[in-house]
Amino acid sequence: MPVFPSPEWLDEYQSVVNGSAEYADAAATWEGDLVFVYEKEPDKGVPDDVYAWLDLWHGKCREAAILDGPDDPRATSAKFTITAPYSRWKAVMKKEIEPVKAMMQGKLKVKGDLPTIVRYVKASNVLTDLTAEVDTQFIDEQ
Amino acid sequence: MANVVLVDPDAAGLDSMLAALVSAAIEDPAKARVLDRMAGTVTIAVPDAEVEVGLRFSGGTCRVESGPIPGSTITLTMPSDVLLGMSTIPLLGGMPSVLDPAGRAFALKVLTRQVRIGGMQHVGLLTQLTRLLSVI
Repeated sequence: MPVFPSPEWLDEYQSVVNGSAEYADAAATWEGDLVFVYEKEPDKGVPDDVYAWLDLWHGKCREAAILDGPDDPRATSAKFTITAPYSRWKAVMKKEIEPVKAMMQGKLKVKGDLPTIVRYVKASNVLTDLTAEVDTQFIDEQ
Repeated sequence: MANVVLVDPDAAGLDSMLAALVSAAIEDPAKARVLDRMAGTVTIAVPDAEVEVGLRFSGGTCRVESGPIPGSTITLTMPSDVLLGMSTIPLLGGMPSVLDPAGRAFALKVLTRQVRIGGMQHVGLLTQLTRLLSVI
């Protein structure tokens, strides 16, 4: 079972995204990359911020990678960035937090062209929901 | 000249989202002219997210405040998903179009009080607001 966060987990997540008919439909015209930033929580086994980059194109995830850090050109040029502490992402993945509400509460910080995010809110929700489809071992529960 | 002021520059929730939406909207000269004409205050309440935001329109400026504005000209109360979805509903005369399924669904939510609109008599400001926040 892949550990979250890790490159292995991201690979599995990419497979889940690419297998989702619902995401393919909701994001059929989406063009642009996205970075999820899992902010560090050293006491939970996440000593540094983790940058997970997804190249999303017309309902598929063409490529996914854990980046070296915020200076990676893919991080600086990403169309959208969503940032939250590791434990908050974990709560989203366990469906304890609803992503749209969390964005409105500032618990998930969104950077990027907001009209586009609003237009594709269903795709964003599906993308978030799919994290729960990955059989996950959380790093602080090992 | 139309502009947007986010009163709390460190805001990261609905207030900053609305400021970003309005800022993007007024890049379109037609929507900038809509903002130039707007006068009044709006409070948007999202009970399920426990968030309220105030919008103050005057002299072509939209000031976005973190919290309600007492005595607002218009008060909109709706769930978080409906609020975001509202921006993608086709408009007819500045209101969600009942000719569109999403517009009819929105109208049903108004009728069933899932969406509450206070200050409906200020329909001019309301339609200006829906035009400003529309992303389609």
